[in-house]
Amino acid sequence: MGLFTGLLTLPLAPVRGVAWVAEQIMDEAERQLYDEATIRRELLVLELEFEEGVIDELELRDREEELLQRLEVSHARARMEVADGQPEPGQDERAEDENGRQ
Amino acid sequence: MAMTRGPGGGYVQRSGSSGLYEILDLLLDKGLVIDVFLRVSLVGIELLTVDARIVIASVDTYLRFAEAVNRLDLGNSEGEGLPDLVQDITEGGAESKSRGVLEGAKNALFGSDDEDEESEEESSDSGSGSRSRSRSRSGSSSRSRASRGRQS
Amino acid sequence: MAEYVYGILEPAATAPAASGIAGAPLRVVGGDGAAALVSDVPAGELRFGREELLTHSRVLEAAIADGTVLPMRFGVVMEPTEVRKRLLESHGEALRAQLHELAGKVEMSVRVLYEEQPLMRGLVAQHREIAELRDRVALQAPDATYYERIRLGELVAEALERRREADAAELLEELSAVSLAVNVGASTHERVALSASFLVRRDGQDAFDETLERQAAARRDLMRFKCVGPLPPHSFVDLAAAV
Repeated sequence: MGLFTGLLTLPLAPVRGVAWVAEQIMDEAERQLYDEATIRRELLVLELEFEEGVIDELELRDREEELLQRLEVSHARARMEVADGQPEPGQDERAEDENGRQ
Repeated sequence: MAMTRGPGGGYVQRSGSSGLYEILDLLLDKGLVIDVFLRVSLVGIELLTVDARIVIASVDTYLRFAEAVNRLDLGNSEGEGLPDLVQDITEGGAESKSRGVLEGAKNALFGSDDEDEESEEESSDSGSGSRSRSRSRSGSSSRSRASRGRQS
Repeated sequence: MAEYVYGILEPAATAPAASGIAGAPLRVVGGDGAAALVSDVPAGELRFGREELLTHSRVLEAAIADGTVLPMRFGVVMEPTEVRKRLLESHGEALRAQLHELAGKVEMSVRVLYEEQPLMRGLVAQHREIAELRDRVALQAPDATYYERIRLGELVAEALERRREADAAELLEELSAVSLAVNVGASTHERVALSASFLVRRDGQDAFDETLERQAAARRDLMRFKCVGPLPPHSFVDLAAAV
């Protein structure tokens, strides 16, 4: 991936300014946020913390809810990617958007 | 909350699957699959605000493991309680996340360039927010293998 | 209106006493070889939350109390005609075969977790390289040992993985002897020694439980065991019904 190597070697020239850098970081952060494997792992950690008395049920529910929401978004995004190429009215712009971002 | 003995004096902690997380993998990854496009409306689900926190992956993991063995008090059978360790580990993850992005980048630099290259390739784990160390990929179910047991 | 499909039942089955998603009543859509357990949902508005996931699970558990059920993955919503034609008719034979094969069998989901302290202590005791490096690191200030700590962590990670593979293999050996089939999950966290689902005959469940208890008792200093079940056989329906 070389995200940080990229950041290193680039002079902050006008061609790729701070805004570009920020966007790359946001893209990567967002990708990680909705990465399914990551979310699953966080759910497991949550389970361990609850069982071992680190967090109480209230916090468990809160964080679980957030993780499930992220999981739902993650699935929706995955489905939109799968839908690429399928004839679907109104879907094309979104599909291209996903493509463009990849 | 931690149980070492289940009902009936056994050591296996049992559940009737009332806990969601215990069966989440089964519900989402297993079962019969129908290949139709499921239309799910995202109305009402607000996309969470994305924080620009990047966790430096495998280096973080190794430091965490080092920390875990370093904290062991080997001369003493007591040692630190489990909950503390779990908490520390997740806090450690949170700590690295709350560092500013530039600072995070600096830490990545601090390791050798080779280290960075390697760590990009490897999947890795740490506290929340990073890629998991398993070989599962995003969007796909965890790879599993079925095999026959000996009961007949 | 669309139909949310929970699972596949035997042709003559009746709907279990439970309510479906958003409180909608369950009903059985009949076929020749197999029937579908469904409830009405508004098309395109299925929520993905805790409530829906739990409902899906509870409906299936109610169903398996009455007879064989092949669980659907969560979130399958279809047009009613699709359910009849593309699911039940097209795949009737295969579904019937699965119903037959899984009759009287349940799934036991087992997760074995390491206790962190004993695990780490064990790794240090078993690997001199780790113990020595740990000692060296302990003598110096953290600033001076950045690379050593990374190296130490790396060694621990490797030793841990080897340990985990060995433990998992032993556990699988023991539990395979009292089950019909096993589905092993990929390792997702270093503290999970084993995450696996076992297919067990209902009348073989006692033997399975006894073996699990024995293992848990024998390994209690290092691991803790969790078991969910009996469950509908989510992991053992292998029909990928491509529509």
